[in-house]
Amino acid sequence: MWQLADETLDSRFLIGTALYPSPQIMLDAIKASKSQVVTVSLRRQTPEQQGGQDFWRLLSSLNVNLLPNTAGCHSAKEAITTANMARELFNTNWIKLEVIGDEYNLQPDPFALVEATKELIAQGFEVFPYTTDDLVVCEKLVELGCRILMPWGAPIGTGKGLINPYALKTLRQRLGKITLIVDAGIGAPSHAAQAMELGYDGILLNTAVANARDPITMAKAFEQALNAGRLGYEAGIMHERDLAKPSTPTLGTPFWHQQP
Amino acid sequence: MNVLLNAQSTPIDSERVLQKFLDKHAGNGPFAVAINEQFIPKTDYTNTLLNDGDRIDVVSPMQGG
Repeated sequence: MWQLADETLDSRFLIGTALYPSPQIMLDAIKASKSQVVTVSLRRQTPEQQGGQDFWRLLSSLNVNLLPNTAGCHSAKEAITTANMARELFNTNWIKLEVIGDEYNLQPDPFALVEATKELIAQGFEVFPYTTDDLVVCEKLVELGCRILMPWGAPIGTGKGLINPYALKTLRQRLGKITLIVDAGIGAPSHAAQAMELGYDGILLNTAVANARDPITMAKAFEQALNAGRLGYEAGIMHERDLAKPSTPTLGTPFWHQQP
Repeated sequence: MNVLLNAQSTPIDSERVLQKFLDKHAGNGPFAVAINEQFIPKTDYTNTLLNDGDRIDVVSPMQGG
């Protein structure tokens, strides 16, 4: 059991709802992941989507916490307006705050992120900021009142894993009481395990499961990797050494003798 | 008088009140609204008047990561 904002959860796996081959596979993969938090978004209505009614019905059947995002926003103003629309639509004050600063690697804009965070916290939102792994930006977000931070592992959709483990480790060491979730860039279950071994509280991912050849099995694989990584962290991972050290005691083994 | 509804030019005549406009133009299912990038809460639909050239965004739930 762990605490995410004011919710007590069993699963540390947060999962996206996009890119699945079909709505049924999405549902089955989310169930296989055992996730209790799923990310959702907003789009302009089109006649073909019938106002998103089908998706809404599927979401309601999952009985999970919804984490709306502000994907596609490029300014603090757009993000603030989107967050307000999401709060009314999904009936939650949780918001995954994304403000994109660069179109090529979808890198968050730290300045607009801080500006939007300040306003949204004043408006009563629980802000989950999608941020770079920059320590100073993260400290600023905490100073503004964020209880949760979501630094990237790598740019969205790249599957590169943790491209800067040093920075992520530093965040964990310096922001002891803050809930830290690696969001974006996770490609393989081992990446998720690595983040959990660093002491991260959770993982948010989408593409690695949705675009797998078998999304349902991949969701299970990630679920197990997260648990393995977390257990390893809690058990206390040994420190690395440069010199070999025998695991079998040498004293008393056959043919052993003290070196002169 | 015309407004932009989700970036599409849309003529309005009698339905200057936002609620009436949405009754005619919004799809089925849940939605939320912004005018000129400003969120409009549901409670304000009946007392919001549309103006020529307003940019109206009507959004619905969608898959996201």
